[in-house]
Amino acid sequence: MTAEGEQQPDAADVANAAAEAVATEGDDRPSDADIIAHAASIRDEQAQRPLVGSREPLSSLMDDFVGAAPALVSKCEALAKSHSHVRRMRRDGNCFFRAFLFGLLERLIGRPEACAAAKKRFGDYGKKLVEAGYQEFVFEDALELLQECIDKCAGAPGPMDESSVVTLESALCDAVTSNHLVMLLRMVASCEVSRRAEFFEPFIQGAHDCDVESFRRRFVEPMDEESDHVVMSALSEAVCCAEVTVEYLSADQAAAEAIQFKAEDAAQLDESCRVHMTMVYRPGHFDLLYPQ
Amino acid sequence: MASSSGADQAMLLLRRQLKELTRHPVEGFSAGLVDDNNILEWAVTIIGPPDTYYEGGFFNAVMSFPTDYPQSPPTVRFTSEMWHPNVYTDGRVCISILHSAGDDPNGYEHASERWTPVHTIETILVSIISMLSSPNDESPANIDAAKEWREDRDAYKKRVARIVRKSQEC
Repeated sequence: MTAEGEQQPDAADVANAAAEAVATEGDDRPSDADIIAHAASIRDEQAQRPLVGSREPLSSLMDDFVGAAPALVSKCEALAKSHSHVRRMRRDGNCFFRAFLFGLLERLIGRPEACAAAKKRFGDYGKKLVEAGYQEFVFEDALELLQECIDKCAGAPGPMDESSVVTLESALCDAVTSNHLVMLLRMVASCEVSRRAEFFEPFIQGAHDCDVESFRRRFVEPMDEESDHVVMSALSEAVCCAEVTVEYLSADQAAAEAIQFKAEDAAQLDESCRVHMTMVYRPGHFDLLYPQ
Repeated sequence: MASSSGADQAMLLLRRQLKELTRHPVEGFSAGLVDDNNILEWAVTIIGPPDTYYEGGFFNAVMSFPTDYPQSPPTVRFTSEMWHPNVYTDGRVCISILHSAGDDPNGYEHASERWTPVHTIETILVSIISMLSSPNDESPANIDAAKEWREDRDAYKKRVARIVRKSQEC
């Protein structure tokens, strides 16, 4: 795990906005009220965008960086050799969880065997949540909702079936459904961090200077909090069948660096039950990527 | 897929908690609805914790839940008179777990716990009871109360004794 780019969240936009405000006002620092208003306007702007966007050609990702970050443009060009599309998530702090959720469900479409395995895995995880002290009623609705979504995927005529993808898109653009499921995944990730506290502790202390419990309560369980490597590896460990490759776009590295998050016991699962997804990360934000 | 509205989800979860709390009351508080037709507004009575200045008091409060509960926290407002550094003069309770991420204009709460969807009515009320036991005068909602708590503990004690008596009357 590296600490690169961690905690430069969508909030980075806010910080940049604040810095810009400083620049335009000369020596006068913007007041707290100005900063809050600006942050709110960024939030409002994001709120206009869908929680989950539709598939766009990869070139649209490049357009984000043209003029602003030439180093990233060339990295995008490199990505374009192996990837064709990107699906944007709303920049609300939940992008990793939402990308994971969408990526998982989309890749379960039309694969009944994989669906059954995922359903069982989540069902079993419900028991782990109870063991870890979560009250059942705080997550059981969300778990049921997720199981229903997986059932819908299982019933699709084939992998990546177009109309099923559209249905999934609209389901996960619905704030209630989408956020409820994100909430569940946050609890799952948090529980997994706690189950492997000994392993995660040094990383948490290094990056956040707090103990495991506070980390879970401050960064993992609350909605809209950014995710870091700890969260990403905990979630893929917990869900087990999902393998996440993250393509890192950062201005200071020669090539895009891909990092894989994969559960230790994933190898024991049959390939027919596994799900592979790729995300693209640039400081502060995750989107889903589609290979060619 | 799921077609239920946010309000439905919130109501379902609150109804379940109401049933649970009716069946298994928790020591230290009682909870019910303000109006049986509105599950989003709860009337709670918090018992002043033993061995604190608030001991013996029965403090009424109203909890109002947003339709996107549990993703967002409820607000809690004492309707009984209250004197406490972390309670605004209008009765609103100001503790970190009742603030969602990004809802912290003063930047005070970076290091403390915030609202998470795992909180239930029970855990919220337990936090309020613990707030009564140990006021946090670092980021006070009621500056006068915080000042008095810090500088004139006797006067603070007397004033709280008065509101405790008052709370027993009604």
